[in-house]
Amino acid sequence: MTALPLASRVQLRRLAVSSTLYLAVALAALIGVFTALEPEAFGSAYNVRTVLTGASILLVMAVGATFVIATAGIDLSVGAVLVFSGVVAVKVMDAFGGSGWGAVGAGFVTALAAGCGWGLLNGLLVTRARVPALIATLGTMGMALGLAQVITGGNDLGGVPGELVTTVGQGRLFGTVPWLVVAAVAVTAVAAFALAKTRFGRYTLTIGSNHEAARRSGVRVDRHVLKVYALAGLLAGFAGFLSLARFASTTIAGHGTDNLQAITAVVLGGTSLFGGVATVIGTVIGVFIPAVLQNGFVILGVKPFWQQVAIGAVLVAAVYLDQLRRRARQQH
Amino acid sequence: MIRCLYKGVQVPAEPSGGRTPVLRASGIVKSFGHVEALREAAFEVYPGEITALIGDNGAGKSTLVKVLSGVMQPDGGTIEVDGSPVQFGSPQDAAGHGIGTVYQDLALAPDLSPAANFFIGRELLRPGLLGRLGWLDAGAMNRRTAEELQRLGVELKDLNAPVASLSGGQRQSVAICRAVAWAERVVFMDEPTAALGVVQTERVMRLITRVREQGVAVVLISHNMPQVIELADRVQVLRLGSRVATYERGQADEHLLVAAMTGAVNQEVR
Amino acid sequence: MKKIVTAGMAGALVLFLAACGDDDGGGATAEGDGGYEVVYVQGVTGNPFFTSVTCGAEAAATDLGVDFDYQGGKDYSAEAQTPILQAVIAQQPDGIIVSPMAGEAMMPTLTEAQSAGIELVFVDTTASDQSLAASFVASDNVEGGRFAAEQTAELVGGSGKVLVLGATPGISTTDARVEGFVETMESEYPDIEVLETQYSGSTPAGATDKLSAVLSANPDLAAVFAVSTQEVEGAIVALEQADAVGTVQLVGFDTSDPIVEAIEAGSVQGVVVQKPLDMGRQAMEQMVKALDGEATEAQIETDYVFLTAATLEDEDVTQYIYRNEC
Repeated sequence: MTALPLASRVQLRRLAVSSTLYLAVALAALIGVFTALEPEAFGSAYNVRTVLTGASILLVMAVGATFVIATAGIDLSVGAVLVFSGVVAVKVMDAFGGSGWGAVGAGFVTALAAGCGWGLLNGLLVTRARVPALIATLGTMGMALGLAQVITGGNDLGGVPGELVTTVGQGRLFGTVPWLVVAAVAVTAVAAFALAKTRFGRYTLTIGSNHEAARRSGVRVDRHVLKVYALAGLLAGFAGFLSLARFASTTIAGHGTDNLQAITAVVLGGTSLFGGVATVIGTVIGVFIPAVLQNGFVILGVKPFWQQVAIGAVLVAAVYLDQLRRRARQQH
Repeated sequence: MIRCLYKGVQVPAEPSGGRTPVLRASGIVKSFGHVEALREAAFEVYPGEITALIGDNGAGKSTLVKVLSGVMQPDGGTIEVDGSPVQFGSPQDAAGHGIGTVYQDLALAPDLSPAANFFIGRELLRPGLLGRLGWLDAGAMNRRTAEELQRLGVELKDLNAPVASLSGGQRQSVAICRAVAWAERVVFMDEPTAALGVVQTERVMRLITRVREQGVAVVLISHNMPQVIELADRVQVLRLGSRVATYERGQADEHLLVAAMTGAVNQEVR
Repeated sequence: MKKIVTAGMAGALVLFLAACGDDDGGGATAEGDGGYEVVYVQGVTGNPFFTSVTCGAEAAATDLGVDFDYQGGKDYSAEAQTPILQAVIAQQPDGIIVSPMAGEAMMPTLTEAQSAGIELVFVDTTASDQSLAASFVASDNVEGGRFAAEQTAELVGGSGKVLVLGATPGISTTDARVEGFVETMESEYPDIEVLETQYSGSTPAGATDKLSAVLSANPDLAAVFAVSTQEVEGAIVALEQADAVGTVQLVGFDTSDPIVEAIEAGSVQGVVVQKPLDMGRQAMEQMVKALDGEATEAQIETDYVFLTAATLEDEDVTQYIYRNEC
């Protein structure tokens, strides 16, 4: 799973914590600049709320991806699993009458079960069939999206219960915090705790750092990796349910780049693609840096094509500055 | 900057006659296809001793170590711990009998702290409900790790720094201390100084004698003859899958060991 | 040689697919009286727009006594369409109606069809050499954008800030809608301020984020033109978040089940609807003319209807809502 020389690992691990801090400062600086330039538009409660809400579904998926990447794995199937889970959830809610909290509950369980099922399949392919994660999850990505299209004939389904859309999708806790944000924060908090403080998280990082060492010490590596992929699938299923609540539609064609967005956020957040080094807080920052940039640029009136150029440049610059810092430290 | 401090250790000479070996193997046979890696190999480890296991490449050293540490199962022969016959189905079985291994690649997770590495697969959980949720007791693990390191005279400044940030000798020390922490009887060490420079080698050698001082028997697999002669209370020579010679401290010089390894000397003619 | 083998294999695949499709009504064949055999190759299967084109073509085929079948690739791409079209050519029908991928990609296969003596009619999209086809039936997307602009201007009373929510730059159909919309607004409605076009990246979430940001900067936005179903779905969410449903007029393009629901609920004021049913019918009529050796019209433009809450009961309009089945 890992072939990184020890020397590079030293820097990666040492910098994981400080990188998180550094990126948090970068994010704060971005927010500061945009707020200074456009205090009323950018800093308004409405805008803060829309940015948070807009990032919440991606964040749920990115949290799952953090665990997978921490084991030195990868999951390309999240966007497709999101779509599939949403589609079967709508079908089930329809079967339960298409409205009422009973139907919503059934849809919720279905979405989670569907996501978890795809995650388990990913995990089995990786651990039992020994198919490389990149290929295994590329395959399930096609299968999940294809099956969603088979079920729907390629047409987006409506008919999402109104209760779900008006509460989870649009409602707010105490009239201020959108439920979507509450859901994402809850998932993130539990995951951050699980990764940093529990045996589950410790196994995840140990396997990513040196799976052979874990195996020799009696850790059931395959079983744990299976659980991690199942978790990522479960969270994609949850994201699928949130997406239904938000858009009142299965948005079949709209998730082709979710996997890359999630992986970008995780890596930008300081998690190593080689495994063993990961923080959920980093991932949160990694989700918000592109989201804040995008929002700020639109408000500032940056031309659309230049927005893309600027966002790409800022992402590369963020990682480049981080590299410069690492090199400077290495010379001491 | 993190560094290790070692204290000088006096090595007491101990006789071994008449004692029960803590680990005894006899008649061990192991074949891979038509290749006989071990031919009725015998091996004894006495408590409180450093036993060197030497032999030329292909003599069967690593196969014997794998059999005795539970990684591999022999085709025939018996293994006894403190005089009672045992069977090892896995490294965990061997660990259950107080037998541990320091692998040549150390089997450390480089991104994790020494404390986390000490407890891989044996993580301590908090008491009560929190523990049942899997909440790690980091404080207890750090304390126990610090105690173990201190017991063997290894000092690390930062127990939370990743293992990868330590020097080669420090990493070796962490791996040795970890093995000793979980093995009260015997620790196998496969080429523990092969990758180290002169100063670090010296430190690790002192650590090995300190392990013996703690009452844990050490099996040292090494190609470094001066080191073997300096450290070992007993040297057992393996050649072509069988033991050909056993020497106690002071009985053999480098010349004789090499002669035994190459077949010029054979004590155990059958 | 290789091509023949490929075509043969694709042919086998198509037969297999057609056999499978019988259960769910796919691969439907209209009963003919031994007349012409015409196959429609869709841009992509399972898309309501192309399904509606197929329905129109099939209805015309029944009227004209043509033996009709249809096929389509699983993606909207030349890679998916090429083997399907090759397999259909291998069946040697009299004519093929096709919605080819734009540009050069499909030219070799289309030329192959022509040399095999098969009549071609293009519908909805055209390849780089339009002269291969006896006729090209489509709605003009620039015209669609103009139509959307007129409807939007009426909704906002001829003044205010208007945002165009584009898909992904470089897609010719949606780019043309943007172009038609912006040009019309600038030339004919001087009191309307068209904001910088924002692009969703063809995802509803992207549309929501962009529109939300624009609303932060422009709380006085009067209307949004969303160029396809993805952008409409995303725009609805952004307007709901901003409590701006009904105050900001939302005009879309094309229909889907969730969007029809949104029109009923009042979160979308109206969508521009093409007439794929008419496209299919006219394409089939031109095809039969060509096969009969009569003169054909080189290019036919179909027009648009505007679907609103008020016209939801109007059969003249609702017949054009894109269908999942005929």
